[in-house]
Amino acid sequence: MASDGGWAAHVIQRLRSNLGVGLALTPFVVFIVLFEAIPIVVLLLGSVGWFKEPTLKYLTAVFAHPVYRKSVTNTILVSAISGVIGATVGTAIGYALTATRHDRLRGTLMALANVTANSGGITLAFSFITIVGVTGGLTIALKVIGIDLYSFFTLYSFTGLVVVYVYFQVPLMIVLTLPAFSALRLEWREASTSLGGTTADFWRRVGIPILAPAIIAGAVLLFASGMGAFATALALMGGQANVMTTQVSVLRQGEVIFDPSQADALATVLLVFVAVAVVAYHLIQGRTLRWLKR
Amino acid sequence: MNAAASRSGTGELPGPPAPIERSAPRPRREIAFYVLFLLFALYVLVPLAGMVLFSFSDGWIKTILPTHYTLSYWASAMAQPLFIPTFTRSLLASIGTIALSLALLTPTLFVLHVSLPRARPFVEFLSLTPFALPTVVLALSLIRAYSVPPLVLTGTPWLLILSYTVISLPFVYRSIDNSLRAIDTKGLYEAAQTLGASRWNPFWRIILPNIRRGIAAASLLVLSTTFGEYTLSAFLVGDAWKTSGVWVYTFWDSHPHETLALGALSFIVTWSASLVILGLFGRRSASEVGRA
Repeated sequence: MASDGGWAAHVIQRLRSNLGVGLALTPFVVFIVLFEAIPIVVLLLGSVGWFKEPTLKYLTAVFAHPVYRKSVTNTILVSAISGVIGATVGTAIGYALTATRHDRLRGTLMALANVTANSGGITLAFSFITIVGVTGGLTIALKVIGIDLYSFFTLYSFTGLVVVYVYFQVPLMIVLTLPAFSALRLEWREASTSLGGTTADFWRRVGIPILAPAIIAGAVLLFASGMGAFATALALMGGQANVMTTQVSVLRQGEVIFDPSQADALATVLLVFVAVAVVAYHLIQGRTLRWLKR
Repeated sequence: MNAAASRSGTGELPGPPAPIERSAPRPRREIAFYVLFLLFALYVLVPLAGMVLFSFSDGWIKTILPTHYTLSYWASAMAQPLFIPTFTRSLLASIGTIALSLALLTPTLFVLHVSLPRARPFVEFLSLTPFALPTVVLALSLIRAYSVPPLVLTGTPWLLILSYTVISLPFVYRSIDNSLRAIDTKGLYEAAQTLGASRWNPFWRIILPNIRRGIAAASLLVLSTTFGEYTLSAFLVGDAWKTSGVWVYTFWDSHPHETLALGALSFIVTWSASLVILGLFGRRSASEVGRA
């Protein structure tokens, strides 16, 4: 968008000259303003107590209050770990899918990735309980061969959250990075080889530099998706999961503590984190697009 | 990977050009790929299998696989008084979202492709941003904005559909934009204009029929993300208009087998709907749907 600076003036000029076009865009713009822009502005104002008495105490409490501060560090930790695992595994599978000669297998696995990339939620968490819960099938199977899974792991913990988040993050990474892998031209490989380059040379000088932005951007988006995950965490750990999203829910809907302003402040901080990640995503992705567009 | 080893193997002079990727049989690499694919497929499919098995199992506590199978949990799940109302509401919310998001984006994107290509990055940015917006944040901001006069919408299905539409924008945008790009919308439109058509006539008569597969793909993605959705339902309507997602969550503690029968049912409904819609709107592999 930044590179196309003239669009605003252009839009205005065209809107003036063509009322019909303007009218056609109105519903979409009105929808965005009413149900995205205004609500978020209201949320930001709420987090500084605008509607009662302006104060920064809710926002500072997010970092000062031990429980909220812990939820912030937990959220960052869980999303970062699951993001890195999801990005690494997703990249490896994405590469394998591009390079394999088995076309039907590629089609099937891509379909599987597409189906599961948006699968986070209540039912997914419950499904994991039947497999690696205390009495899950895999837990019992491991016990039979002499491994006591629950001596070092429990699904109802942050490690468990990572295990379940990775379930939808790996497919998401595959879907996000496959276009970049497909853009790696065979001719570049040929050119590199005919100039005497080895496989390692190709990857170090050509492959990695072209893919890196897409991979890092994908990882950043996984990080953002992990930060926003709520239903999965709630279903696995209930109120015990001290991550930002569940804290927000406790503050907004809880019978014991009901503090909507504090909930707004936590949501605002979460929104800022995600916004930073998204801006980073766009900046990094801009580098990949240069190659994809050729 | 091992630069030093392959260098020393070929000596000072570059060896003969290595065969390019894919055309060269590299069995060891292919085997590594298959192992990777197998692990991925297992990781993705085993929990789904667990969900289905558990819903049919009677007593699966001390064994690797269930010892007894029964249909009684499925029967009991569907006999619950809340089953029909909550699943109907979820379906209505999804259908409403599909209708609203398509009505918002299809004409907008058509106009962008024909008359205003330079405004596309702007609409794209607005449409794709909700992808990263945490649902909890969206829920809280909508509660703040629409639980007080002049417009009280919390607790009504309308707010739920509006919020679902926000989170659906990225999927719908991608599908419709890709389809419009693929059919040379501007060329078709201008051809119709030279033949004397009005502005909107070509949209209904030419463009819409030609992008029906994109519309089908968009509808499926919306259905699969919104049907049985929990977070926005719980925050925005809760018990006032209980959807299947909210009901299923409260059901787990007392009736785990029934809960997963309902989970499996949601999954089957969504993906059989996909097959039906894809069958109706022309054959297109499922792998293209998500990319759309």
